[in-house]
Amino acid sequence: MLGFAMRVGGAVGRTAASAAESAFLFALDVTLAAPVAEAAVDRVLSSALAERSLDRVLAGPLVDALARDLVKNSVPQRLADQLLAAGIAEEVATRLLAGPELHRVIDAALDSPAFDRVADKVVNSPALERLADDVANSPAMERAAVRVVESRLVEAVVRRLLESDELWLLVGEIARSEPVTDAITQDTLGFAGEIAAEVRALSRGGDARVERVARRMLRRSPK
Amino acid sequence: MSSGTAAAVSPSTPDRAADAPYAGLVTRSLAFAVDAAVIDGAALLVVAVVALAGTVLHIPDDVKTVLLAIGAAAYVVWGTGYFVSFWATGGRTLGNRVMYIRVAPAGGGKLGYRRAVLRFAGLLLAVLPLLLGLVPILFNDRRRGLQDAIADTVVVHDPDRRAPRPGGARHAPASRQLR
Repeated sequence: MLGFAMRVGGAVGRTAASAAESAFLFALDVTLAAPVAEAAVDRVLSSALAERSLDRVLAGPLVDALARDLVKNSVPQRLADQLLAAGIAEEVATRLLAGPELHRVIDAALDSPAFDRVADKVVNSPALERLADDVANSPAMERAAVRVVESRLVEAVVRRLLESDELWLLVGEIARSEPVTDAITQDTLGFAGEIAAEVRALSRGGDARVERVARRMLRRSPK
Repeated sequence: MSSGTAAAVSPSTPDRAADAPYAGLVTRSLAFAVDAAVIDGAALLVVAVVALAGTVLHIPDDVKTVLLAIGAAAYVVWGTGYFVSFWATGGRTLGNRVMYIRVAPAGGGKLGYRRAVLRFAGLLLAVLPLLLGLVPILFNDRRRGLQDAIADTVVVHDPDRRAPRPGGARHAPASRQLR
């Protein structure tokens, strides 16, 4: 009997609780849908209390705890994955390239003294030298150079150069210039001088040999 | 043939004939060949010019003979003057300059025109009897020929004036001068 009464009491209690939950939710829906709720929320948010509360939350340990939890649960990574998958990166890049912000950033960077320091460091770095060496000695660069040399463009450029009067005027000017004529004269004189020196050395040896032969023929003792 | 040189050079006995301060027969012959090329080249140039003029102008045969005689005399004067003037004014003909040798009085001092003329006459005397006057060059300690004995001269090697100085290059490479 007691057991039956307890089962009936339990069922009634659960029904009553369910009815109360439904009533509460209904009341909540009505409240949220009411224009007064929106006005109330606006008032709360614009109140000094809300501002102070937010200040305290931000100054308190809650933000740190939140950050830790975000990191612990890999929220930033998941968020980034979702954003990238949704094409956000492309949209951002397109927007940056199309917008004036990028030009402003570049102008500001070029005008800053830091840019000069960075550029100087890069230009004088051994790494850049190594990179340049690698590029210059790479088979790809060799192939590219061969392609350029064998291209019709080079042939056309050379043909036009040879046909231009300015080139021959320039060649004439260079050939008549004092450094070039001096250099040719010096080299010619140097070559003639070398030959004369060689002849002189040979002639000295020839002097001695001729005298030895002559003395031998006349059976005289050598000098 | 050029000969000669300097008393300024000490006649110390060299260990080897090739290192002697006196120039030998081969060196002097080469110098003489250069001199002969210069003399004959200049003479040929003059002859060519006169011959070209002769093709345009009508010159009688008698005048041609006279011109030939004048030309021969001029050649003798030119050849004699060449050697005498170079020997008297420094002892170095153009051939001697090429071979770096110099005619100088055996006792030092300057050669002068009188001894230069004497040496040229001696050279002719040495050459005329089938070059026999040059043979003593091969056996004489100071490599003197008949012309040297007559004019009391010797022919010495000139120091190489263009030898590189210690501590510095003499000629900068042409490419460096182009800048």
